[in-house]
Amino acid sequence: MENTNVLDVKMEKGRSLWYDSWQRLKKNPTAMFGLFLIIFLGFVAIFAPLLAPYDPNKISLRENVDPPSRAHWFGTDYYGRDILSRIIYGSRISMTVGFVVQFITLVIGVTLGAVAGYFGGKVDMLIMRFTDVIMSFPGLLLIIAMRVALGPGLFNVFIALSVVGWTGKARLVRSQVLAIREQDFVEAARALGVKTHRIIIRHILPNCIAPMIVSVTMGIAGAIMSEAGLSFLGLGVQKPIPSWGSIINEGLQYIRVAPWYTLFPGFAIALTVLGFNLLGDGLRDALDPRLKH
Amino acid sequence: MFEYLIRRLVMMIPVLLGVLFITFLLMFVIPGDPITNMMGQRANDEVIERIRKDLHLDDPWYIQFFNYIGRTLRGDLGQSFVTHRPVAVEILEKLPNTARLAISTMIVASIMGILIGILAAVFHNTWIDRTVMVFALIFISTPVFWFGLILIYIFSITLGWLPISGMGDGSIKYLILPAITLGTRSSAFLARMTRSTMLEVIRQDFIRTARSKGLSQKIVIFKHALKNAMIPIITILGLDFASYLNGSVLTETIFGWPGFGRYVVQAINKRDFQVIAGSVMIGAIIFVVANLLVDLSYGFLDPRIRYD
Repeated sequence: MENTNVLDVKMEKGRSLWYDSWQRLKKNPTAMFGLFLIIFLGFVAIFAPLLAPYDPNKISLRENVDPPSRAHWFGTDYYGRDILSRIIYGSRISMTVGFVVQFITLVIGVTLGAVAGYFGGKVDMLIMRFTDVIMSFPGLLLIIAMRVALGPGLFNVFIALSVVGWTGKARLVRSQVLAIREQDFVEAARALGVKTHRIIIRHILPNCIAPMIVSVTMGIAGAIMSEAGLSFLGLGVQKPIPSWGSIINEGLQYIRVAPWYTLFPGFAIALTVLGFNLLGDGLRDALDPRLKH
Repeated sequence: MFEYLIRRLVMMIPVLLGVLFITFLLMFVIPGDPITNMMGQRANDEVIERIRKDLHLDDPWYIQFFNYIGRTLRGDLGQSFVTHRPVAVEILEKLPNTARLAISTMIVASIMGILIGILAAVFHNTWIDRTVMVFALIFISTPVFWFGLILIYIFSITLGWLPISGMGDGSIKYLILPAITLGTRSSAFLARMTRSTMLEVIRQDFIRTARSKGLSQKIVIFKHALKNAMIPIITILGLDFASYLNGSVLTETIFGWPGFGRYVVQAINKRDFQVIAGSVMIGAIIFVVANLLVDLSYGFLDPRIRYD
């Protein structure tokens, strides 16, 4: 007897949002270039001790402010320290600041945004007015003031950058939550008696992941840029720890005789920030193709 | 319109109170004793105690906060620990120089940004569009202080065309490099915004109608499309204008421009916290007012917008 239950229909394999987005991202050469830059710089930061030709803090006064040569590809600084090695080690500070600050701002932004959006009313009003207050400061000025008030150290750089950086994410999450919380699947979860924090974490927040990924990628670029600005002003990590902004600051007075002193660390900042911006742009197009022009 | 203005001004009050509270808090967490910071290490305990009483620094924090609000409303932002002059007076002296730089920057940014954005939109999806947008992203990713140094090296040190720093006799040649430094990044943002807004507008029916009437490309783009793309562009420009205070901190330092930003950096180097806190507060007020002006400008740009 013929088997009539078997339907000769080829079922298309279900594809997730992430699979589709990755396929779209792969076709975007500039975004892939950004991803390559980030992976390369992450590799440099992790393996700095193996890659750096010299100890970044080794002083050699006989070789001070030497131009690029075979021995020192990017030249040397005022103390005769190898600039390439200092840039390689400096990548650790930039990457750490970028990722740690984004992690902290993500936790603060998502928590406050989700609570404001889900509960609404007075809680929402209070959180959003607080966000308005922080957003009404010119960012760098507030970061500077906080960093001066808190004192030196990498930890205080994290705090200063994080206090200013979470607002955009809170607003973004809040707007997403406002849109999602009225949808049927949330209503159904509520009717089934699922607890509020579980509804927020399990049902609402997963729907905010796509815009958050874009925000975090761009945010890393912003944090790296702000840290470079702080270091340039002498408010970053303490000397002699190498950071790209502080190398540029040191090179400032040698710009007439030793332009390479400021040139190379600046390239490092620009390339890193460009990498994250290119990837962020690509992710935005890939995760939400409707936005693409 | 008048009612909207009043409503917005009332809404500004809690935000400004919040701004005051945060600057007050910053003064509270600053390391060291404020009187010792002001008087130096040599002041004796008796004098310190007397000044503490005179300045009401021994009051509870909330009384001190109310006093702080009162002083700020009277325009008293305290005294610089270094120059012993009123901070408000010093800031007012520096602001016109920064405003001059900000206006020049805005001119550079708007001309470059809008034209480049239009170019990219008109040649959408061609190599021109792609090249322009990649360059825009490169400029967005370039630190403003480093870009300034590159310009100084090329145009001042190597070519000797423009002065390295300062305001000199106030002539325009001193303004060119700082304005380009500050304006290039801003113009890159503006170019991206102009491009995407123009692309949206160009696809609308009234542009098709204008084209089908036989109007030239120039008239369609500049008279019909650009006019309708102006709202987001003005928003970016207005908010950027206030954010030049941010950029001015770094740009004025590089170019030795005697404005608000350099004043803040000098205060950082001398740990003159009264000046830093006062500057942060003034910066925030300028930001809030710029926001309001941007919102009010929408009604002039698009008569369909009503402030009800």
